[in-house]
Amino acid sequence: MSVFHVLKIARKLHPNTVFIIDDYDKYYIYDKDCYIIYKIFNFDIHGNKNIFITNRIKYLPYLLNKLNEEKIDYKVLCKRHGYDINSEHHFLDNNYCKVLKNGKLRYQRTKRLNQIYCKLNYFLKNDSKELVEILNEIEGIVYV
Amino acid sequence: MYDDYLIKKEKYPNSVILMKSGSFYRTYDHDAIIISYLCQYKIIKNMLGFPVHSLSKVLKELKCEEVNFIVDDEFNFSLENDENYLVLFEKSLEMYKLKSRIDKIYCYLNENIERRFVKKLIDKIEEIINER
Repeated sequence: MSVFHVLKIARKLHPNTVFIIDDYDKYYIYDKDCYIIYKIFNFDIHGNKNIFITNRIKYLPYLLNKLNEEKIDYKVLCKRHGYDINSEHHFLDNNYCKVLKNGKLRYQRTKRLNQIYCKLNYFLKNDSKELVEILNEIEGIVYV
Repeated sequence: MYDDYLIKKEKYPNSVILMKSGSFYRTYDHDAIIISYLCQYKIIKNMLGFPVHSLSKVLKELKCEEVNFIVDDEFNFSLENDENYLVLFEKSLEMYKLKSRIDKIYCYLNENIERRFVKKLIDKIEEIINER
């Protein structure tokens, strides 16, 4: 059974839980859970599908501590044991939805902001006169 | 190290001076602005550093611009005409100021990224850029 199939079933039962997949020497987080990790740790999202977490021994306790601090439900599934639950935590006041919303917002805006930054740097390299005009206009609306 | 740099700078005001420190070369003030412009290294607190293995790349850029330089008593490159240094510095300073303005806007928006007004600002900035 593929990991996506397992996650699809698991999400139907626990829609507001972060699923961490223990895959031998790495941990993976998929789909919308990525936005939560992005919000908390600022990790990169690769191809909008998974986050790749290295350093098996050191990272997981840190990650789980943070999820505990933020009061977000989580389950660690072990791939080599048929996706058995390694560890889990359930909070009565689960912040999953709230953090997910903020994470998505942060990710989308940061992406757009980075594109703007790249474009401005492109102008800096190629057309500094036009850049001066653009910056004057931008500063006019930003620092009101 | 900065004091040594200043002593040398007093002696050679129109040359880029690179000081070796472990496995890095460092330079300060105006020279840092020039190297930052030529090689896109970051200036942190008036200082710019780059690894030893990048020295040839930096020197190549300086030679292209025909600017005098001194590398920590090891060797120097000097032309009779040292006006290029001032011309390049002015150009670099202009670019450095523009880059600082871009970075300042980016930092301000990034710090407030989750606040509501930032969405409107990003929309407007995108409009301004796309108009060009």
